[in-house]
Amino acid sequence: MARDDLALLALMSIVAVGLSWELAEAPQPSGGSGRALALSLLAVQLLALGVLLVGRIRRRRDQALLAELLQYERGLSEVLKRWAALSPPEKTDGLSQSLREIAPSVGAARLMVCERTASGELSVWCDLQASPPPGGPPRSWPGADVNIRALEGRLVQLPGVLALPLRASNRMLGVLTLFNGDERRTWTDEHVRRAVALADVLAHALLHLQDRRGVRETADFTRAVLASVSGDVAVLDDKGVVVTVNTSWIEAMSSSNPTTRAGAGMVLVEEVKLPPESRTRLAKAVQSVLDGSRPQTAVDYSWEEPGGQRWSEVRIQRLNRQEGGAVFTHLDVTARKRLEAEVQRHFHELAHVNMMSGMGELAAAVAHELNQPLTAVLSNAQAARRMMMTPAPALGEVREILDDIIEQDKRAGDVIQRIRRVLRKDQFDWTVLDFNGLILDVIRLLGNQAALGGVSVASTLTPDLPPVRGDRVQLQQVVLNLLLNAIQASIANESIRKPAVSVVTGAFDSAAYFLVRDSGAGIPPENLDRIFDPFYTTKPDGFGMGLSISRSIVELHQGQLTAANHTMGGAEFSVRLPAEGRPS
Amino acid sequence: MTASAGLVYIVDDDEAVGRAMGRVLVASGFEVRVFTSAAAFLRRTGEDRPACVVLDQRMPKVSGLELQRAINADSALAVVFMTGHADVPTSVEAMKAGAVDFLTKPVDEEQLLGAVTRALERSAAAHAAGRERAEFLERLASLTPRERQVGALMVQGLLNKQIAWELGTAEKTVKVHRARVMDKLAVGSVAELARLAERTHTLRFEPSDPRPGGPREMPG
Repeated sequence: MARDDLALLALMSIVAVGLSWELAEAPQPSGGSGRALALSLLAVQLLALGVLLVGRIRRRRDQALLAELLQYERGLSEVLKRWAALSPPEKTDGLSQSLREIAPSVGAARLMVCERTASGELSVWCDLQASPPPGGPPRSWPGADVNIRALEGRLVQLPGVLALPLRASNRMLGVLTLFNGDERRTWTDEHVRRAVALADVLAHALLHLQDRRGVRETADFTRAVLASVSGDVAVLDDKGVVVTVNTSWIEAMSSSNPTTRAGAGMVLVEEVKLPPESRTRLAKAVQSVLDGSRPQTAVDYSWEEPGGQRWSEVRIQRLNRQEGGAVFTHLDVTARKRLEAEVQRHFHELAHVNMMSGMGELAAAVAHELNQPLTAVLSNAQAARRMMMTPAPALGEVREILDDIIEQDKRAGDVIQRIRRVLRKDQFDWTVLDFNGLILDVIRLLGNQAALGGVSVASTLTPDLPPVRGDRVQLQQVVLNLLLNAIQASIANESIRKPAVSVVTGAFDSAAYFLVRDSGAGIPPENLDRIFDPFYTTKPDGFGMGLSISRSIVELHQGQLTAANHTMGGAEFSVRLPAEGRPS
Repeated sequence: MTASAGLVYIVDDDEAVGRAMGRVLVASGFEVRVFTSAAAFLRRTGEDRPACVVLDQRMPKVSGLELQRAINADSALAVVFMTGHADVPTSVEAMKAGAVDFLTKPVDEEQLLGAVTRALERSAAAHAAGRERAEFLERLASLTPRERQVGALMVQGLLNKQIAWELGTAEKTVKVHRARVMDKLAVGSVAELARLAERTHTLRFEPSDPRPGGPREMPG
């Protein structure tokens, strides 16, 4: 500015001096020196006039500049205020007004804000005419390429148009384009400086707006997704702290559910009120997902409620983002579990009843059939003893009694023979069997039974066992009986923390064998010889026929069923069946 | 064998069992009859003396419990039950129906003898009572209707005068009736008569009997 003023003053001085000089050179009829003096005075006057003129012009311009500056400052703060108040969905009226007001202070007749969309395109966010337009309406659109160049991060300054990149947090958010209404007029440094400042404010405002809009959209989306998910859902951060939960979780918080207790900001696992074992299992599962050792996992456990036992299933899924975290979903699966247990129990009962009803009938028949001759033998013997105690025993009658005793004893023997015949070979349905498959079927059948009792069943089945020949149903009953015994013995043994049953198959000496070992208390050594006897049982409700019949079945297959106590504890039963094709 | 320790019937469809148990009882001095079916037992010729029956609960056609009910209907027989397996409901029903004991096969001799002895005691008591009743009823039948009326009023403890008033006859006539009643029924006192009447549920005054006498006070 000062430079402009000096230039003006110098110009005026030169004009004044030049004029004076011209006057002095010109011929003067009334004395030369007087004229020179007059000319000098004129020049001085002219000079003073010029100085005054320049001062006035400068003062006026300063006033205008000050007003513009004030307008700019006020406008900028107004823009900021409007932006700050802006919340989606955007109400741009106030903002547009403030931008319109600030436009002249950056030398713009028209102001345009374009936002960069996700696809990289520019969309016009607002396009405003200054009020009042200082240079009339804009005459022409200078072409989109200034905006595109600006979008590359450069300030584009052309006569009539100024395009500034809107950039914040290293993100290119859009372009601010200013038009001064005259394609030939360039931009003053001051206007450019202000425009840059305005662009900076707009960029940050836009960033803020986009973030807020994004947050809102993400939050809406997340809420909608969470609400639609069945089950109680909590989103955890990498420390296991609850970030957000769905409405189902909130409802569950007020129930007696021991899992869904933590609210936002709380560590989920710390609020869980489960027995130590289940709680530890749950905590480990959550940790394994949070620390990234597993992408997802599921845990199920039961818990007690005044209304009875309930079952929960928890799924933990790692959140696929840099900060980590997990989605924790809790499902009350009591109804499903009860149904499953019911089905399994029913199925198992059927299998058991099938075996037991046959055995029960057999047992009742055996009891009666043996009881009659036993009664006769006892009474005959006691009668004979009485008779022998008399002074003159009737020996003929005693002989009759003895004959009867012998006869009744034979009768009892026949009963035994008849029982044997009940399990006749020709009643079997002989086929060639895959022993492993047969065992796997039974393990599956008893899987839930074992799980309900907390017994783990581990099977090591040797592939390519030699096929065996036998009756599938009968052999399955043997395996079922042995496995069920093993499970029950393991459950009954309270000194074992982790009841387990192991099943092994293998081939040895042209025979296939099957071993089942339990974690029960084992068989008292003195009873090892008796456990295969009919009616020998250690179970309060047992018939004592299971092992007896099992052994009969195995023997009818030319196999052996033996029992032993394992050196590491528990009982071990083994079944050996000759391989198909082996001469027996 | 001089005096029998008592009569025992054994009913078991298994002949060998019946015979063997019979031998134990015979060796202990009992008189024994063995039957292999309920029908055969019910067809037996009656012996009017105390007796007990040892019944197998599990028999074809007629069950032990059914037979027990048939026996109870008109007999002083005491019942001892035997079973292959003593299940509670059957035992309870048998004991309720009056069985003396419930034995489980095979039956030990001591248990058998104890049960039979107790059963015979009960049968003897029942038999004695039955005989007394039968004799009394027989005598009662020899009374004339008038003597029966007098006897019924005697049992109520009425004096001759009162009886005469009730029946509308002379006291003298009542005296004669009273003597005949005592004589025909072979009782020595009114008290004995009352006891017998109560035990046999007989000699109750029939209100429908004709009362030609004067007005009688009505109760209430």
